[in-house]
Amino acid sequence: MPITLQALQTRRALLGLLCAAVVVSAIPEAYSQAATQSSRPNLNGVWNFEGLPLVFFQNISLTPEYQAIAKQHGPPPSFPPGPCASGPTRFPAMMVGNSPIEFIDAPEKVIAIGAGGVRRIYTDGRANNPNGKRSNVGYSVGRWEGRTFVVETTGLPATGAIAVGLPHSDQVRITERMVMTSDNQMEYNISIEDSKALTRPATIMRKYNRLNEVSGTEMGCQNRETESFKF
Amino acid sequence: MSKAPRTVEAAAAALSVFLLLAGVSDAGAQAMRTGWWGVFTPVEGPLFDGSTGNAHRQRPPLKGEFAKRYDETLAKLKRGETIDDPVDRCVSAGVPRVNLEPRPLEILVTPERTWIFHEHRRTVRLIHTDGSAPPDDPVLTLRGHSVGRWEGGTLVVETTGFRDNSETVGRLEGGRLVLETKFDYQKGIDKLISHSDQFSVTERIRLRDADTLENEITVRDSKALSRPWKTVRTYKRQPNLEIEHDNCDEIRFAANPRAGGPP
Amino acid sequence: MNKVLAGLTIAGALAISGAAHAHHSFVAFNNAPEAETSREGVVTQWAWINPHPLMEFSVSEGGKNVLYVMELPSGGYLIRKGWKKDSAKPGDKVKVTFAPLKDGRPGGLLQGLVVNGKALPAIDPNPGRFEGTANSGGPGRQGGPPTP
Repeated sequence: MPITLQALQTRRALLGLLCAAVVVSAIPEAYSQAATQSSRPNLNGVWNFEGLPLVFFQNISLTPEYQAIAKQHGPPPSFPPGPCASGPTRFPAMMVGNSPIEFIDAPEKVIAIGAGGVRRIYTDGRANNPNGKRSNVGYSVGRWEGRTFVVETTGLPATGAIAVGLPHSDQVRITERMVMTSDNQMEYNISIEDSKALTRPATIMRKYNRLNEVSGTEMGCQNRETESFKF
Repeated sequence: MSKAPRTVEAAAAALSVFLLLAGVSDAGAQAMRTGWWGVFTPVEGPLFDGSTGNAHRQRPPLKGEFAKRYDETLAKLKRGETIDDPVDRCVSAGVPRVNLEPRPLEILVTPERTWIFHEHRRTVRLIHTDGSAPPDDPVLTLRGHSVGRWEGGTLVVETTGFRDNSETVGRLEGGRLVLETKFDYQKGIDKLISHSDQFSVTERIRLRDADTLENEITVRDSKALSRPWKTVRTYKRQPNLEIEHDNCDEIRFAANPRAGGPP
Repeated sequence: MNKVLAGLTIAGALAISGAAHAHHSFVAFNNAPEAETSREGVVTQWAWINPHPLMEFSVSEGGKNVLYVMELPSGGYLIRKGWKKDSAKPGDKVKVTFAPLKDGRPGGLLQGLVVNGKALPAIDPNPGRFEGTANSGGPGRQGGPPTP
């Protein structure tokens, strides 16, 4: 029976699985200390932002149509604040707010937990949003380029806003580049492209440090719960 | 080159790397090796004996004021009245009720912790299996604080530290801060069944076969229940299912944007 | 601090309202740095609630007691900064720094708290300070009463 390329690849895959199983029984390292053991950086864990509790988009240049949309204002303020609403969670706000973010490097995907939201970043090489789904966290695929985790997101709602003054259209496309600058530090860059709303990509950069804490899975207001890493 | 082997290879590579990252050993490794991770959907079937949807074929073993409240709520339901349920307001169903929702879950096992990501209301559960004890003064939540241990191939999870659905809101009245608390029991079993602060949940989770996950759930409540109450939920593996983003709250905001939130 | 801010507030810079810190608009407050003020008094109410904890304290002004109501950043945020849910309680002597309410009522957004002579961990600059940002009450706003 001739050995086809397909059969070879399948065998290589099975061999990979076997190797993994062998390695597993031999390596007792803690989940959080695995960075140096792996061929790729360790994204696992809870990360907290460094610096001011705000993220500033730069290079914002809205088209005239979207300049008008950006001027629309939301509801009036209340003091003291009303009860916790079932606050919608959106990407990218959930990643760059003032809550820590958590990554779980799982098979086929990286699961990212931000303020009230859970994202799945598929890393198995699948096409980006083959079924044209739309949701507030979009559809994300990721890949490693050296020490940088590159994530492309499409499928955000057809209308909405990234932040106040930065509305988006159905064409919005977001690229995240998470550069592991050291074992426990990450530079987090976002570039927002939108052929209808923006004349050039809007960008932000933020620094994150890995927290030496057990998983937080902090959820936001939507469950009327403020949970933290230590109480 | 066809797509299938590439996917298998990618999956294998991903798994190898993940296992390396996770540094999996002992029971967790066993669970990983036997393929716990993945997406599962619940199989239709009995929930808690008394709470199959709204049918309530069997009376739950409630006692005292909790039994009385159940009867009142059931009577309301039979009269066709609406019952306030936080879950309808997009709040998490909490534990164990989230297991009874007909929505998929994703499970991920590492030696130190197991995550269960429910699609329903984006509920994330974290089960500590590193031997740590529950905190003395836990943050009270709808999903509680879970610690787990491996008994052979079964993950035994004890969950305590539940909060109720009460909510406190402040307002200004004549220059004073007035705090108003609307008390509401947690309805962590069913929309009709409330429980007390003594509520605890034991789950025995195992793979019955490669594609069937089983969760035997026992609830205890010295104030509300006359005896432990048990059900078994089973789930079937769905290799190609993607967990969706539950947009319950977003739909509510779209219906009433003046209530706050993005447009 | 001003140097840091100057470096960041470039033309067209916008901000996202951080979910943990700011569940809603800060437009009710006078967020200008020069408007920041402080009062000393005694805590009368302390409520560790969502979305943001609230505090009421009594200040002796012109021979009578005036009640000030403070909104705090979110509990999760404060905990990570090192605060506790019982960092203050009724009866504690406090010195409170805050961004005052625009409408002149005694109250504001808390910026710093000293309890019985001991300063609690510092919190980040008032997000509402950044003009034209998410904190001016546009689509980035979260919170508000639940829908019926």
